[in-house]
Amino acid sequence: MELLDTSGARFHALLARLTFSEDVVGDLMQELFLRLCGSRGFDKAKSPLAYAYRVAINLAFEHQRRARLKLQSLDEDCLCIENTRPCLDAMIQTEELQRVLDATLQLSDLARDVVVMHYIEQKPYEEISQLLGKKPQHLRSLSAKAMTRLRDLLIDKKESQDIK
Amino acid sequence: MSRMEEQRIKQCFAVMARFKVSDEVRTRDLKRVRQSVTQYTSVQKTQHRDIWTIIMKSKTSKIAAAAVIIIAILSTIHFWGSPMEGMAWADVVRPLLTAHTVVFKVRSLEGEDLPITRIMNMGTQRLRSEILSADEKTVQVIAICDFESFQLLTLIPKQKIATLVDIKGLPEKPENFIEIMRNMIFELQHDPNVLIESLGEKEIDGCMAQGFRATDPEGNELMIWADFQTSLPIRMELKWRQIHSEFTDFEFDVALDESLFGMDIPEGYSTMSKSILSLLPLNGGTEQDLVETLRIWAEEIRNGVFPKDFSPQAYIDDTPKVRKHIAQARKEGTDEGPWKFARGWFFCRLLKPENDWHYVGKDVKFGDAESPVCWYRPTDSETYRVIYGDLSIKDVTPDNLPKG
Repeated sequence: MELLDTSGARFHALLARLTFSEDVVGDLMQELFLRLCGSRGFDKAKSPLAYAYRVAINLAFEHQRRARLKLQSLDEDCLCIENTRPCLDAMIQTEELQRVLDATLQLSDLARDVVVMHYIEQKPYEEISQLLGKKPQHLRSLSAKAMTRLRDLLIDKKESQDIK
Repeated sequence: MSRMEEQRIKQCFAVMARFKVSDEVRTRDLKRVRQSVTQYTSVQKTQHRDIWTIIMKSKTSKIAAAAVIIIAILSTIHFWGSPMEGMAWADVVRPLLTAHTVVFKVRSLEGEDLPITRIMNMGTQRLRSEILSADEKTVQVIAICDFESFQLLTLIPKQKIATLVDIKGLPEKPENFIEIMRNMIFELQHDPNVLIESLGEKEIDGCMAQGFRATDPEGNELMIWADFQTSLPIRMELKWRQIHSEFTDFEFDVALDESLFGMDIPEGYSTMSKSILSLLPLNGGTEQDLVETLRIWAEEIRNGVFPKDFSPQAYIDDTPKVRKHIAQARKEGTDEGPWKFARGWFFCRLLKPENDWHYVGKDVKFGDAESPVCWYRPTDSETYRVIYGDLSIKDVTPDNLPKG
C-alpha cells in the first residue's frame, strides 16, 4: 500500500505509455498491485521499487504479446500529448509504434528496463542507476547496445528479403 | 521503410513518452486499486500464503509430494523468462498455464532402478500419480487427489488396499492447485536473483533441443531441455534441496478418461480411512521425526544396523524388509508406521544445502553411543547437531565435527 501511495501515479503513467490505452491500464494496475501483494519476491527484494518496475514492465509487454494490442490512433480524443508536435506524430504511424514495442520486447530484461525508463519514462541514467543498482556508465553502454539491437530487429521485411 | 534509424526509434519512444491519461481516469483507477489491495490484504493474502506453506510442507503423502514437485518444477520454468535466442518464456510457459491436461514422468536420479512416477493433471482440481516399477510395466501405487472434495485416495493394486484420506481438516485448503502454480511462476519470473546460463543445443530423443541451467541463491538447480521447434519441455532435471529428479515424457492437452480421477474405491479392495491431520508433518517434519525414522529403520527394519545411506536407493534396497515391517505393524492393528517413518524422511529431504547434511551411518550398530550416524546444521545455527548410534544428539562446532 505504501508503494501505491508513493508511486501509484508513476506506475499508472508507465503502464499507460506502454499500452497506449486508457481502457486496459486500470486492469493492469490492479493486476500489478495484487500480484505484488502476494509476492514473496517483492517482500524479499532489495529494492521493492525496482522489483515492482520489472513486474510492471513485464506485465505491460505480456499484455502486448497476449492481446496483440492494436494501438489506438493518435488523435486528440484519445491522446493528450503535451508539447504536441503534429508533424512528427503524423509521420509516426500506429503500426510503427507497434513494431518498436515488439522489438523492445525482444531485448533482455535489464536492457528493456533501461530503454523503457530512459526513453519512455525519460529518466536520466543517474536516477535509473540508483533504482537498479548499476553504474550509469554501464547503463549508457547497455542502452547503446540495445538501440543497435533494436535497429537490427526493426529491419524491414522487404529489405531483409533483398539481403537474402 | 528501410532499417529504422536510431533517431526514428527515439521519436517513437518520444511519442509514447508523451502519452498521458486524463486525471479523471488516473484517479478512478488508483481508487479502484486501493480498494482491491485493501480487500486482498485483509482477506486473501494470509490464505494464499498459508496454502503455499502447507503445499510446500505437506509431503508425507505421495500425492502431496507429487503436487509439490509439480509446483516446484512448473514454477521454475520461469527460468526461460530471459529472452534466450530462439525461445521466449511466454511461449514455453503458455501450454503449462493453459493446458487442461498435463502428463509427465518423474524419476529420481539418486539411485538406479528407482520407481518412476507418472503424473496426470486434469483441470485445476484433480491429480493422479502412478508409481511404476523400474521397467514401467507395473503400477505399484496409485494416488488420486481431488482438491474439490478434499479427498486423497491411494490404491495398492497388488495388495488391493485402498486408503481414503480426508484432507478437509487442513488449516487451509489447497483449493486451487493451478492458481498456486501460476502465482509461483509469476513470482519466480520476476526474481532478479536467479542465475541463468545457456547449455547450448543437443539432440534428445530425436529432437533438437536447447538447454538452460538456472541456479537460485539457495543453490537449487534446474536444467531444462526444450524442443527447438515447439519450445515445449522435453526433459528437465531438478536438484532441489536434497531431491534430485528428472522429468520426461511431457504431454499437453491429451485426452484423459474421467475414470482415472474417480474417487470410488474399486471393488475387491479393503479400505482404510484416515484423517490426514494426524499423519502429515505440516511443519515439514522435525529433528525428532528424523530420530524416530532412524530408529525404525535401524532397530525395526534392519535388525539393529543403520542403513548404508539415507537415500532413495537405500530405501529401495530395503523395500522387502520395509514391506515386512509394515505388514507386521498392520497385524498389530496400526498402520501409522509408514507415516512415522516418512516424517523423518521428509525432514531430511527438505534440508537445504546450507544445512550441510551428512550421513555416515553405514554399518553403525544401533545403540552405539560413540559412532556418529549423521549431522546437519540447523538454519541460522553456528553449531551442528550430530546424531549418534544410540540416537543421542550433541551440539558440535564445525571444528569438532566427526570426520565424514
